[in-house]
Amino acid sequence: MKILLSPPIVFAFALGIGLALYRLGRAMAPTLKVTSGKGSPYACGEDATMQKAQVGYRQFYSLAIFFTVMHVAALVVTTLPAGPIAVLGIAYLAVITLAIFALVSR
Amino acid sequence: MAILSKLATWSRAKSPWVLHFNAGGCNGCDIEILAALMPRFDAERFGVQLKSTPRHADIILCTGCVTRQIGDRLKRIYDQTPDPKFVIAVGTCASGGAPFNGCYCNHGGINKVIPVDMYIPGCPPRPDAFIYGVTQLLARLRGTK
Repeated sequence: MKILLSPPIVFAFALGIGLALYRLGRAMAPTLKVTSGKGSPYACGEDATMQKAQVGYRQFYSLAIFFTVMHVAALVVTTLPAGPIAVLGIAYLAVITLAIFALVSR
Repeated sequence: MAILSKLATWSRAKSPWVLHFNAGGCNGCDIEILAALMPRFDAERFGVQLKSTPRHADIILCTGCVTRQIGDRLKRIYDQTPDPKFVIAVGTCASGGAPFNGCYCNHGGINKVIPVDMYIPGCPPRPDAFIYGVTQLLARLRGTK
């Protein structure tokens, strides 16, 4: 019973349901009639002007690093063993503070 | 499969989403359509919801006599609406061109450009007439008319 709730089995089950719904929807849908307007983007009936765009992740990258560092710091601090060794957490947090400072003042 | 088909028809008839398209009208019919969709006449009690893209619409509500300039746009929007789709020509101009029929600058009705399923005459048609037309179309869709 436990193996039925393991992640791979649950994932395969969910994937199966998704595929079944997709196939059912496809079977119920009317036959596709390809026309020139069918695949074109909707722009109130006008010709949509295309332009190339290059997506940049520079700003997102800084934010992602910030959250990663903070999450790892929180994980490390909360899982430190009790006792005198926990003082090392303060040194770790000091390093984290420097890292955040470097990230923000970049 | 027949049960699923019935279910699809039932859900389609319960949520007919509409796209409003002015194909060169004077806005009289458009104002009446908006009045029908507002709380006073409340066409939404039949599931009718106004959508801003043909990709989400089941019914195209067309007004106007279709000017030469907008004919191609109307055809493209009709193509972009997913099947099964329905077209309602709202107003006398949309139904047959009315006083503009034969004029050099227009097609003389929606059905000259795309197939029409329902005509709602009037200049402009009252919101009651609009609601009556939509309910007749839904009854036909359910197979009860």
